[in-house]
Amino acid sequence: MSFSISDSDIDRTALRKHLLNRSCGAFVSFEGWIRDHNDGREVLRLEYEVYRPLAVSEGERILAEALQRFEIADAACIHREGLLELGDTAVIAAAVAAHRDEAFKACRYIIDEVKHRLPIWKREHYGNGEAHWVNCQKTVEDAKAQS
Amino acid sequence: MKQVTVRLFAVFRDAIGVNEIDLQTGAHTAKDLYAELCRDHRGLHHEPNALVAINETISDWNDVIDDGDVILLFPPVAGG
Repeated sequence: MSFSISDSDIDRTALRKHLLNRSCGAFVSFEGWIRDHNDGREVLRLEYEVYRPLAVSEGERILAEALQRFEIADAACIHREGLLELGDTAVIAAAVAAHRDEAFKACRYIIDEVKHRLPIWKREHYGNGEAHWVNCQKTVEDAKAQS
Repeated sequence: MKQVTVRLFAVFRDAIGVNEIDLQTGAHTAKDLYAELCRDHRGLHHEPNALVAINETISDWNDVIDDGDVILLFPPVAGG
């Protein structure tokens, strides 16, 4: 089980190797990529801010929960911080199990919880030169009111 | 009155222009403190999905704050 924050490209081969287990017939992973649009706006790049001490402890807690809730042998997750370009991998979550069903469920659980619980924020940089923090309702409303 | 330190992140930090504030407060809970900060700092808004941590532990908004506490105010998170 391992959770980490990375300020450089995620090494998916190392992650797969870390989880390799002869008792497992299933490896399921999810990757979140930087896409070129959001809410109808052209996105040029993303910036992730992470509060590492709590992101790591909460991330480890999520993996431990996945190991308890599902019949998996192991799980891992890596999240990026810093400035990311289009096509970069922002996050990877993975689980291994004897059979695929539990690995799929665990992987889904991990990425959903990571998105909801970890102190991580993203700032989108748009084609028109503006940049906004994502998910901040009032801030988004203000931005729309001013545009 | 209690002496506390408040740390701000992402949009909250940008709204106030600093990442840490030392202040004296009569706030009883984390929720009271957040409301006080929103009142006193133009640009800081109430975000329904904001999170709070007290002394490095994710906490409830109704948790009581004590003298010397470090309160982390997290805007709505957006990992992934």
